[in-house]
Amino acid sequence: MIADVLYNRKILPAYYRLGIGLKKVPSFKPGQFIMLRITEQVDPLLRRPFGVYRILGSRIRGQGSRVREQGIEILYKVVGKGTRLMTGLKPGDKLDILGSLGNGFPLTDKGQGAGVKGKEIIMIAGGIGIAPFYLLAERLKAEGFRQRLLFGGRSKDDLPGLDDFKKLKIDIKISTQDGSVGKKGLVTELLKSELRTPNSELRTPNSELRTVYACGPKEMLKEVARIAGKADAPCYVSLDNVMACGIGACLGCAVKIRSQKSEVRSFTPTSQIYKMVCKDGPVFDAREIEWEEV
Amino acid sequence: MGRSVKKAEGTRLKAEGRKNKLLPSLSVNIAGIQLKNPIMTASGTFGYGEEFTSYMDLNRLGAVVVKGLSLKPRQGNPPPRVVETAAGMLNSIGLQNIGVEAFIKDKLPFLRKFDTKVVVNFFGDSIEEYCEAAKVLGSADGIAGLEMNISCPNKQEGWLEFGTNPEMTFKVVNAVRKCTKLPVIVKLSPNVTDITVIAKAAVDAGADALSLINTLSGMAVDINTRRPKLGNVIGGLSGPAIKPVALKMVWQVAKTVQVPLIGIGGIMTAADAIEFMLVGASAVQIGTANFIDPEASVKIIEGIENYCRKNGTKSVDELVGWLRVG
Repeated sequence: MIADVLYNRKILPAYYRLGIGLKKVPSFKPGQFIMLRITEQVDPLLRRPFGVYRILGSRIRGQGSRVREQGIEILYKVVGKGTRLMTGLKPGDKLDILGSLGNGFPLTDKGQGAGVKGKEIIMIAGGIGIAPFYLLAERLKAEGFRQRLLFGGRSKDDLPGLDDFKKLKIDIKISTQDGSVGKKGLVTELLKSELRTPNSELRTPNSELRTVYACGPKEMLKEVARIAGKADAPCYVSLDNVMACGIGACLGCAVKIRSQKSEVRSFTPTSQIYKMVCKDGPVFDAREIEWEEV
Repeated sequence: MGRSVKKAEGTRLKAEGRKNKLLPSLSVNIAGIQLKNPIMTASGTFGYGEEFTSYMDLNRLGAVVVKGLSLKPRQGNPPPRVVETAAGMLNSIGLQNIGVEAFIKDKLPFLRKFDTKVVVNFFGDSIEEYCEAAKVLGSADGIAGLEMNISCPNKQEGWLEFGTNPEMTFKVVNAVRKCTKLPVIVKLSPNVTDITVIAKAAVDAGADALSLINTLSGMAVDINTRRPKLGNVIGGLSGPAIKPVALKMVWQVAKTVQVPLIGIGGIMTAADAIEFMLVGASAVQIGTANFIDPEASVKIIEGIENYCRKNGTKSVDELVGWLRVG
């Protein structure tokens, strides 16, 4: 799908927001992603996956002056050759995107027991892991869920999009490793106190009423899965992985899942030991993942 | 009245003539498989076809070559399985697949609905396994041909790859030849001293066509962790980075054997595909390009058609082996 760059703004030293104009905006569930082709050239060669951060307003037809651009916004962190190239994108430049892709966060109690009304949703994000949560927070707010965001980064410069969440007026707790803002330490410590009772037991009578949604670095997700597991709180993680196609063809973005039996070389299709982040994910039930191998 | 009918008929014929002149024939025949155009998808880059149906029209393709199958399903290698390198990608998927039986039952009926040829890539780790897989596939309806991946380790010969040794290549191709009536395409490994020797062995053993090249063996290292970037340490390099190597190998093999060749290796555009045809490929396979643009193969078909039209080429066949040296 060919798209236009609407804007490409630096919001923090290493973070940008990129507005992508689309003639027709596909429907996006919170947690779904796009594959973006950065250049027509062959280096970098592969598309890059990005979580969809926001949906941009729809075009109001025939109303003269106030015609808003429609499309999507992504947040990105400059980490390598591809994202460095992206910083040079200018309004009007053409982009090539594929999407919406992936499963997204489970939003109702159907099947996965996630967001039953009355339950509290705890979103926990590390750095650029915030990307899929804006759409989710917006949706949860619209549907009347109680929600809380635990947002952590190395320093105050690693909390992209924080102001957007503040505007949503949801409950936010912040931590930074250097203590430049919020509580000093890892964001997983916030989760521990969140799920802890006064007598510092992780398992509480109510912890299963809280569902944890997490996105961030692998080490963080591992710890989140461990803490939520101990507290018996349902937990869904959005995984990131290197992928070539994003549509389930290359089988490159495999993640090992827990198997009941010890694995053998031959298997039946129902007892597969790998799932694909692009097609089966990117959101997985944390209990499904073989964390030792992530 | 009669005169005007005649005139109309004349106009129609003239228009048709013009149309024929404008529309070059793209059809090619590979080992008895009639393809509507020379564009096939490369094994392992197109899943079982269904992954691509929301992005492009499978009916446009000359053939779909499906993800390599083995007799029994395979889990594949531990991640990370993919890493990008300069103008290329390394993969060590590890031949993850659902096995021949599940393919025939669950995937083939869907593929058969399309007006394109289905070529099944398959492999084994022993001659017996190759033959068993070929027999099972041969019993199914709707398969136009088989493509043998011989870049697999032979467990009976110290895990040496079949395709790196002319005797082993001969043995496995000859055995498969005897247990199927379907056309057999042998996919060659580039990781050899002299690819023409292996090509000859495959043809002597009864290969109806050859496809080349499979991925080039390679690796990448993370200097921060000081560990290999792939879970399997080594993998196969594909993409534009390998095109010059592939082109040279197709050219060499074209001078050595008489069977039709299918060129593979970093084809991103129609121009790339035409290069392969000029050095002697009768058809080509599109691989890594499918990951970057799911519509790549369709765009390449259109590009080849335009090229033929511009150059007055009536049939795409005329391009095959056109290269003049010196």
